[in-house]
Amino acid sequence: MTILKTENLKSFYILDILGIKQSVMAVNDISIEIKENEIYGIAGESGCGKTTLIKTIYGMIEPPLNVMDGRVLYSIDGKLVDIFSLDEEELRRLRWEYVSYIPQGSMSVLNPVTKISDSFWDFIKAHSNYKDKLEIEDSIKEHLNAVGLPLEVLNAYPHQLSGGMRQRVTIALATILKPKIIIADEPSTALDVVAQRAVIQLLKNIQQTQKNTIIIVTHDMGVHANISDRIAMMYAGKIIEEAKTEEIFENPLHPYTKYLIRSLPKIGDKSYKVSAPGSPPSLINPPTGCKFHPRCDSFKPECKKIEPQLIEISKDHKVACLLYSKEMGQ
Amino acid sequence: MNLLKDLLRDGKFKFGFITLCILLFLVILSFFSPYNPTIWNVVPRDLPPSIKHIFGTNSQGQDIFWQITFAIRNSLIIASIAALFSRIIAIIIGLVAGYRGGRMDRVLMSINDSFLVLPLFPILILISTLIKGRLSFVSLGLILGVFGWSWDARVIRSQILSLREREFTFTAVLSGSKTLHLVFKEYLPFVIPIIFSTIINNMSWAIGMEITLAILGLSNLEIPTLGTMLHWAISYQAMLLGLWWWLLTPVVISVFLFVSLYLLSVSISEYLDPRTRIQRIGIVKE
Amino acid sequence: MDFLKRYLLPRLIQYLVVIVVGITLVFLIPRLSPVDPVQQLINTIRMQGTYLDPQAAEKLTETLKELYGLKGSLLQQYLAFWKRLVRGDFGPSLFQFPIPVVSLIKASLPWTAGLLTVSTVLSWIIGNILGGLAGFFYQKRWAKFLENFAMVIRPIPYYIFSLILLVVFAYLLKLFPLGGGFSIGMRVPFSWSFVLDILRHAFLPALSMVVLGAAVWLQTMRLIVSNVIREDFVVYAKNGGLKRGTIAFKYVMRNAMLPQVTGLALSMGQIFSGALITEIVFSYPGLGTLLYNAINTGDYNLIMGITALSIIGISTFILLIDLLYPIFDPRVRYK
Repeated sequence: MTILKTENLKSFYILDILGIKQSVMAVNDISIEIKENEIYGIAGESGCGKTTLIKTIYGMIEPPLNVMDGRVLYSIDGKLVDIFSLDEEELRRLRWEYVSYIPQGSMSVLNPVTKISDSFWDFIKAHSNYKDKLEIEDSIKEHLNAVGLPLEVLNAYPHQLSGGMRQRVTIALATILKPKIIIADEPSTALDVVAQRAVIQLLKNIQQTQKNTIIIVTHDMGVHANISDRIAMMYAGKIIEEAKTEEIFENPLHPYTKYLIRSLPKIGDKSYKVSAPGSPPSLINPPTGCKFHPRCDSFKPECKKIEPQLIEISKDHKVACLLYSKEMGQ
Repeated sequence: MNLLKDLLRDGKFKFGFITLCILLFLVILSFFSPYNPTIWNVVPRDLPPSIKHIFGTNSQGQDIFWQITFAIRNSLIIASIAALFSRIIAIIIGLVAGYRGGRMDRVLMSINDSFLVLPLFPILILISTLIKGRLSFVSLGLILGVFGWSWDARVIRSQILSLREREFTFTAVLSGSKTLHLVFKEYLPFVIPIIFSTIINNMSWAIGMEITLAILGLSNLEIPTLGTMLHWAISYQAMLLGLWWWLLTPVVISVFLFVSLYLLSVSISEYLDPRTRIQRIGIVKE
Repeated sequence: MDFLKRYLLPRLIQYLVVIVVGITLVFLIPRLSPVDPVQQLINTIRMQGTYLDPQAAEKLTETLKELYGLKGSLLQQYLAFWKRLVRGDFGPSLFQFPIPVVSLIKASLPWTAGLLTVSTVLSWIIGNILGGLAGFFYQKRWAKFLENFAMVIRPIPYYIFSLILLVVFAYLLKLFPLGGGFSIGMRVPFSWSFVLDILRHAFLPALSMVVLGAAVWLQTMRLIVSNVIREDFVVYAKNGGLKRGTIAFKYVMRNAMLPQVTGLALSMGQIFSGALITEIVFSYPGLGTLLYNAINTGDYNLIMGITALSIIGISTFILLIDLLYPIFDPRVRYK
């Protein structure tokens, strides 16, 4: 059932600024388990480490990013494989066939000097053994249809397409080899509202048809409400809450989640909205203990010293907050 | 100064800076030269390097060491005049074209691009042949300056174009600043760093041109410059007569001068470029 | 049709502007001299000892007077100038009187064209490939070595580098001839030994230009590639698990080439000047040496002719590159 999991994952950016070494602790001890046939959402403010988490899960580790600790395990053919134990070529083969990636803002992710069809063929040729050319061509056309693009797109160059069209091309590219996991990094953020809805709907359809797993990362809670089965809230490099979507919205436990949910506008609700005070913490010098304590209104002195662990409070609902660990008697 | 210290962290800058300082030191020495560089036969001819004459003497009876101090000085003066003059033209044209835009911009840039692509060598030869011999080195500098502004003018213009769209321009205009005032007071600080990094490049080019023209015998051969020294060395067949020190000295000094100027220019422009600034935040592999 | 209007037309106009500006400069320069340029020139020639018989002096004065025609108003002079230019008439050469300047240029042109074409193409290809590799594998030691090597070579002016090569390889090591295009006394018709002889003579000048040129292309290509590999589409391709070779060529190189093509067009003027200078050092029988002789004998007609033709030649070359650019960059082809 579990298709991907991380164990105590820590990945930092190690920088040397004018002679002084500093670490940006973007992913700070994260353990999550993602199941087959689900849409798993990762939510959080800009700069909380979501993209870094995704990069690490995908294996895109380039300096200055370093994996300091922990493992990322994919379930391949029933066995759990630590992707960092694979060599470059094995990892390369995993990509796109097993797990694919839809980047944030597809404005310039396609090769400007080649046609769209070339891009498709590049990705396909790099992986599968394509014996039947016609079959693959049909498959490409099918996928284009599925994302709602006309076939003429194949003969066009990227600059001739609009932003929404390019985003849809990347979605088609991500699904062409029918991977088991698709990671979507802010797939709708760079688009207008109408295109947003289309893209989100599209992703939903793909998941329902192909019965694979989609990991969707976005700060837009509206998108999560629409599409995610489960949501993990991220703050300052840590997961602070994880539950089914309905739970998060109806029964948020962590003070940060509460702020977030309460600040969402609802039709007919004219009450005054409050957002979380202060600003996101520095990832180089984060606050001690619970990282949220400087902004929390339920602050207690212990919060400064003890770092809360992610504990299951009720069925499938995990929280990292001393309010609840206390109740559980920890 | 912190700026200097920061720049010196770059190996390229260090080497260029130190070399340039040594060369400048030689220039200062020229003011203490015991010999007048334009007079011949003040010392015995064709002597190889020795303690008395560090770089030896040439067939015209001059001490090469003291000659070269003058040569570096004059070459640098010519280059500075050329660079200064061309900067001024570049600033004016770049500012006007960038700020005015429209027709004026198109016309100016068209002319600018023509200067950019024209083969300067034949044209310079044309000019020098005409005014041969009566060229003081100030005029040579000015002439070189007339041809060196086109690249910079473009760079300055694009900088102005991007500044024009920025908010503080609208603020200034709305608060009633006059065009000229706006242009000079607000924009110039942005333009100065660009000018610095290209000024050195320009000087390098000017020296190169001067050397080439002098070797061909087209400038005033009385004045000691790096170019004229090479000219005389070649005309007197220094190589064939075995007087290698006469030819080698200006060649080696020239190479050092060019390399150091180049390193300085590259390191300064890298320092100022916002993109490479981020790259100076080093990458540490664990 | 739209493409023609949008892309071709502005470039054609620019081409004409450059030529007009250049030729006008050539036209104006003698007029900037405070002295009667014609008379002064004749005096200079006489002082240099070139024998000018009265007939030659007559013809010279006449030609010069017509070329930057000092008869008639400035406008009339200008138009007359253009008329002669279009006819290809630059008058007779002075130091090889009465051979017309155009014939002398025609004789030297193939040598320069050959040297220039071969060395430019070679240096561009070599420089780009090495630069591309250095940019792609930027962490390796040899990449850093190449970068530093290019950094030292690049600022050295053509004259000095050629001189160094000449001294080291021709004079000291005696591996190559000291100059000229071919050995005296060789049979002109194409025999293998003749071809080899030409190659031997051309080797050092070509080497000089190829090394200096490649250093420049190496540096710029390395810089471009180091930027291109950070571009979104390259990162995406890497994430997509594309093979390294595909990424290197189809994604990085093909995009990095574009600014280099433009750069080639822009540097042509400098490269040409460098070729002339190199020829002078090696006494290679091209336009460079011709120019040098012209300078020494005060052959103003010849200098004028070479300058004017250089301007036209280079502008045409740039126009050609401009016209070929859309083949490389589809973004320019379709709006």
